[in-house]
Amino acid sequence: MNILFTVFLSFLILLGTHILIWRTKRPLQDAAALFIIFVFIPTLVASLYSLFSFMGILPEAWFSIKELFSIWLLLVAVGCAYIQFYPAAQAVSPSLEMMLLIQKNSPTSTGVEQIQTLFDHKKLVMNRVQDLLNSGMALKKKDKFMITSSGKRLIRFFLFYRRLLGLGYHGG
Amino acid sequence: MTLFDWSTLFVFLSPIFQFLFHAASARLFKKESPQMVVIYSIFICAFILILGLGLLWSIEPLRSCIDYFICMVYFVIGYFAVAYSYFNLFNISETGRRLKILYELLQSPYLTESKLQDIYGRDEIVQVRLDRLCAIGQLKKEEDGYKINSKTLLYMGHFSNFWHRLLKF
Repeated sequence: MNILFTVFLSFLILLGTHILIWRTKRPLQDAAALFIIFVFIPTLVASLYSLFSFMGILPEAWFSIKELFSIWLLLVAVGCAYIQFYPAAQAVSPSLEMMLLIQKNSPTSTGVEQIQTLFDHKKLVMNRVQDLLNSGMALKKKDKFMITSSGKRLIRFFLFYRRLLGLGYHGG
Repeated sequence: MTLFDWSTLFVFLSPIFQFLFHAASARLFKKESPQMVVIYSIFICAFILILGLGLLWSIEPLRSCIDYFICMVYFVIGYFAVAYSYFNLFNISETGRRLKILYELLQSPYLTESKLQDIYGRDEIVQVRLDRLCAIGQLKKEEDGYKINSKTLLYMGHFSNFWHRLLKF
């Protein structure tokens, strides 16, 4: 019970810190900041705790190393799940926007033409291109766009992953 | 190994189990919606691992119900947290616009802005998503258009809108 309670309490503290920072001043590199809060900090605290208890600095350790590992594992697993959820909170996805419109029109059904009016086709593509330029995955040279080596590594990783699954790549 | 150690070990190894189950299911059910295949494979894998845990626990000397309950709660939270990350990883490979653009840039370097916009036909970006939402049972297609079939994604959407406001975006 102690382990679950510790994970619950630690996650609440990390989540509270995240909300507080975001409401005060949202970091520019938000993905990196989330990684620091939900993965790096728990790992650092768990490592320091193990080190101090190994050195005998902590007089009476609350948790054994095995228990500490269980706490760290669950905390990081839940933290990673939150990091995955974050983009959905950051911006409404096109699929969700469509569903909200269809729900608004119900019980009448919604035609494709009306759904298409929701999106600026140019913006949908170029916003993502800008994201790639900002994150260094692509670069622009004289009105032409190119992929960088980190962009190549990322897409090759996903192509390899899908090949392992026996799936081709069609893309979003 | 105690009951709790087994739960921890299973959570630790769950990404490997999930990937292996998914790889087998994706090859077996190629005609089904890829997103439904990954969801089903995650649940079937969870069911098998829970059975495995039950078997390992039966070897242990008899414990109180509370001990079993805590170990199970630990496993379920850990397993599904990992599964959510795994599902999102797969989803990015399936639906991510950034990946699609990177893929096109890998295939043909030096693309202009107008060529990049041609990656998606004007109506394709909408139609692909509508088809996908129908395949996972969120929408249903009728003669004169689309209707909501299941509200699961909508509820998730309302929660993300609430979180969006909480984080002051």
